[in-house]
Amino acid sequence: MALSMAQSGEIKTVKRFIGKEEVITRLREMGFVPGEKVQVVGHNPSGLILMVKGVKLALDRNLASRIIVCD
Amino acid sequence: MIKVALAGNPNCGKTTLFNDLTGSKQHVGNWPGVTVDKKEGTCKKNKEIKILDLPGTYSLSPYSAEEIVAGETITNKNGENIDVVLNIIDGTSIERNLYLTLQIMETGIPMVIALNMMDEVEAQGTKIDVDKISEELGVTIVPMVARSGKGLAEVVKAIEEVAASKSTPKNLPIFGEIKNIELNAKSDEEKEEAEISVADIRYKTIDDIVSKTVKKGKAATEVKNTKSDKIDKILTNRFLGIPIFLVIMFAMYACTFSENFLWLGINSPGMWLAGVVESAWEWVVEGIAGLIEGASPWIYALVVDGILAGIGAVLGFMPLVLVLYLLMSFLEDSGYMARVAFILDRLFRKFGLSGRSFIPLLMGIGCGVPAIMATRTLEKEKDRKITAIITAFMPCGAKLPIFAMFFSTMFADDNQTLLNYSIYLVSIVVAIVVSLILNKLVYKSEASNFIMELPQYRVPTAKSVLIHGWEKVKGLGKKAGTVILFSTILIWFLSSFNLDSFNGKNKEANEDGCIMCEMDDSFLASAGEVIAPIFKPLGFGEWRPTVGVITGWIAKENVVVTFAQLYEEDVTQEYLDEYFGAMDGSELEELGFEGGEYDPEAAYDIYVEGTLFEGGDENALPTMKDDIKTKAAAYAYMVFNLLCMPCFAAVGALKRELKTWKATGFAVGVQMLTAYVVALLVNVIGGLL
Repeated sequence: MALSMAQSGEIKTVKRFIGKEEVITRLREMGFVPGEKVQVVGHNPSGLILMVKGVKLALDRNLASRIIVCD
Repeated sequence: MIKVALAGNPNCGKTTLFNDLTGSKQHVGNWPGVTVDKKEGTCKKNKEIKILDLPGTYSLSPYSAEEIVAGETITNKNGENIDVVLNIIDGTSIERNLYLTLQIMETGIPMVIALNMMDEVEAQGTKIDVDKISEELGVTIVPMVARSGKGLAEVVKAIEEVAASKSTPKNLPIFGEIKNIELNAKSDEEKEEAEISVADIRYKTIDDIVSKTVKKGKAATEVKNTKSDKIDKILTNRFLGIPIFLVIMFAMYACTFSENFLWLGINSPGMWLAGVVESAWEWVVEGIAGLIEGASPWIYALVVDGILAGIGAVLGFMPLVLVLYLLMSFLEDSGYMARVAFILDRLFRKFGLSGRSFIPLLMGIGCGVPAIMATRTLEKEKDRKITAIITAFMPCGAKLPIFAMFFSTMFADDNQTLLNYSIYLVSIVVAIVVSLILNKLVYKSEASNFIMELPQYRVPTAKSVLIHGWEKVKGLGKKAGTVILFSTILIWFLSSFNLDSFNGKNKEANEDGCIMCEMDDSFLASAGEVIAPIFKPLGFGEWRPTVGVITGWIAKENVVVTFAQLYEEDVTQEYLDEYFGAMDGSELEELGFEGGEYDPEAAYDIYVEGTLFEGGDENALPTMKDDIKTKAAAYAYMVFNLLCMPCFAAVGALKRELKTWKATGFAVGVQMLTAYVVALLVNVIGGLL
């Protein structure tokens, strides 16, 4: 499923990404690597608030929908 | 000499460490991207060490302009010749921070790691085996707390040692692997794929190292219970987020500009302070005027009408800007601004911008110069350019006196609060429309993405907020001391002299032998006369308002000073006698006449002071109404000054961000065209109402 569908409080594992352009590289550099655990802290009309590698990040919905995760 | 570059992720404490090391007072904020340019300083403890503070960056493959600065410096592409990189790491998010560390190590430059925020690491119950990591990387690591200065001496010592031994970090086996992958990638697609796999390889190594050396405490793994998370639940709530933001903005403006603070019938701190400064300045002016009373008329005129009037105009609104800046600094330092950028992202996206554009736009309400510089933190070039252009539409502190002057003269009977809001509304609506048009017609590209780190909330220290606020006001003060003073004297000269001043004709004509001329005959009048017809359709096609627009480009607060200088002569003794003659004793006393007795000699000062700019006399500046006849024209004039080319200082900042004069010219062209069209609409439609 796409990370954007995850509920607040859920912890998901990153599987793969849709797309290859710069912004995906950026995501990986900020810690979204396959196998990494991501916790959804909150939802907002703008996007999601996530915990990745001990850092709180805000991500817009479109970007979050391109991160495929599993449980 | 040892040249040290300070590198690290955004918001990891680099600037705090820089201030500790150099004793300087750079502003430290609590949102990513406070440092947008490199800054230099000399180490206090060892004068041989020169330190370069770089903008924060997550990696050396950069995305935004500020990150390019950091990347180029570390890889020595811009000739800085760095000896040692001091890599600062936030211990609470060590994995993410080590990514940049690995990239710096790959360049093979000697480095030292400062492991920062150890107090927070301990509070989380996390244990980091510093020696073990140091061994794995082959780099000296110094645990420290930048905010309290703990571990500072050890950092300096480590830099000295590494600089002396020139020891380079360990050449990890993955570095060769990475190089191979990167060399083999030929096409663009291959290159992108290579970058992705390289990122994975680096994180794998980091995971290996971290799993061996870091034992996460309970507080670090349980995300939900920190105070920051609880605050975020409310402040970024999907329903409450924006209303809370609006309330905070309203409170900020009430504290600064309200004359009826919290409906208590008292002045807000900002207005109160403005009053205090104003009375102090009056006292100074009177003193100086008394001292030079005997001097020749043109020297007296230069000092009192030129220099002192110019400084006074700036001093008048400085307290307001100070209070506004202090409050804004408080919000920035607390960590709230990053959240605001996020919750506004969806809205800004609709206008073709990113939520990050909010920060420059908000700063633009204070002053356009730092605001335009802040556009550097935007990732997309398109966002940077559009935001830089529309930031100039914001009603900056220097524009406020223009509105105040017109509100008090032309709109004295109307609701002042509503008028004030209307100006903000105009600037926001115009900014949105222009952004949309530029998005459609000029910069065609897809919507940008939003990724931003949300820092932990911190209670800002009074020291930090004061430094921050003071720095900004000092900048404005410097501008007042140089550009504005110079331009005031220039305007005074151009408006008091003409060719006949220098061929003796004025000297003969004037009874007292003075070489100055009437303003209507001056150089300035002639220049204004030539340009004025352009503004006819806008309703203010006369030379004096035209001159006001021109002097506004030197600094926007000049518009008011110019009006005061150009229309001052209209307030004749006759007019004053008639104006005050219609009042009774108690009214006169209230305005400042001693004992309620009309005193012709004090009349002029009281008139300018208490009436003209405070909004008592709607007939103030009588001939202004000959030039700007209708309310529609007056509003068109305000709007034109609001939207047209910003002051030269801001245009300079635009040039710096847009790089070329061509792009800067385009930006200014867009601003002028926008100002003309909107002012025309205001005058025409307003005229029909």
